[in-house]
Amino acid sequence: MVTYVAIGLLAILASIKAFHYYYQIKRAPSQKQLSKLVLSTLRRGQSDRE
Amino acid sequence: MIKKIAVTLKPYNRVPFVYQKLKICRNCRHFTVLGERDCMSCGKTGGLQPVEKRAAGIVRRDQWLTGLILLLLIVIGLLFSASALQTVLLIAAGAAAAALLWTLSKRFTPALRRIQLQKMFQQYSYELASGLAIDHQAAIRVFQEGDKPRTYEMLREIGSLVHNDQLKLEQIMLLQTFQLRKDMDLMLEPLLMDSFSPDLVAYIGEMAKIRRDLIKENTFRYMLQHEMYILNMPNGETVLAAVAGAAVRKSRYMTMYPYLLIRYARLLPKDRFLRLYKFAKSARSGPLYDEVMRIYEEKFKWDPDFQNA
Repeated sequence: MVTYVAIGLLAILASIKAFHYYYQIKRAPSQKQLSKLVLSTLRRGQSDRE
Repeated sequence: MIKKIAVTLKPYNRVPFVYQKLKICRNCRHFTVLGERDCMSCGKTGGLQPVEKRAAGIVRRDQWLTGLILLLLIVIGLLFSASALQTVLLIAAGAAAAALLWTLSKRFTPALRRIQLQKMFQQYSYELASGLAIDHQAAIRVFQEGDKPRTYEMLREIGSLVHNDQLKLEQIMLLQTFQLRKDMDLMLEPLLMDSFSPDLVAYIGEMAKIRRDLIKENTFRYMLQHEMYILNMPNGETVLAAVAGAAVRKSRYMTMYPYLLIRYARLLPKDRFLRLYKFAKSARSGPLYDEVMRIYEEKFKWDPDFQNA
């Protein structure tokens, strides 16, 4: 019984992780977007300081 | 007149994406671009780590955790397995899950790292901004100690991420105290400002003499935008003529900025004018052609170099 539960949990874990990866990949920024994020954060930081 | 010092500057480390210059402290999570080992914010020795490495570490830790949970489930299942069938099913399910997750994680690891980076930059935005401000203060301290080349190198690194006129001006002022040479790793476009600056114009004038290749569209645009102010400077006309000489480097620039060339063609040295002459001759008409021919008739009509052109 425990073994079948473990098999079930393995299947659930693999499915959740697979969906999680696919969902994350859709939201993943490009390297260019990351650069823009950093630059805009720093620009905001500067204007806050001023 | 400022006495210029001979310096050796370290080459500028160019990266494909500016965020790759950042390092983060493992302890206080402040960011820096100055590449030192020790964090300037909390003082932790060896605390700094490139942000990409940090993100990779977080992703790897998450993958290891998943693998560990997978292994735990398999072990528990094996311990309680009552028959050979259950064991076989368990091992098959475990192997299939492991293969699936391993394949997905290998394929998606770069994207997962980028997501981690995004989370880092968003979560620690205050530490990012204040980290760069601390870097700037560190550069000012180095300047006050008298190490101008090192100060410039630090400001150059900070300037790759912080784009404000104050920082640009600080870099230009420092560059103006150095004896600039052709073999130095110099830059111009990142130092261009929106507003008129006589120091920037003087620097552009220097670049026009030693590194014409750095003078591109944005620089030409800047010079044309502030031409009236530049002409009021003591050597303003000379600088504009030098920049016009840089425009002669490419046909594209000669086509894009004919009026710059028309106004300062008369002040061009012979070799520069010769290139302009060849270009204008191919055009055969237009205001640039007329002006160039006028200067040719006045000054170079009997010059053998122009006869062979």
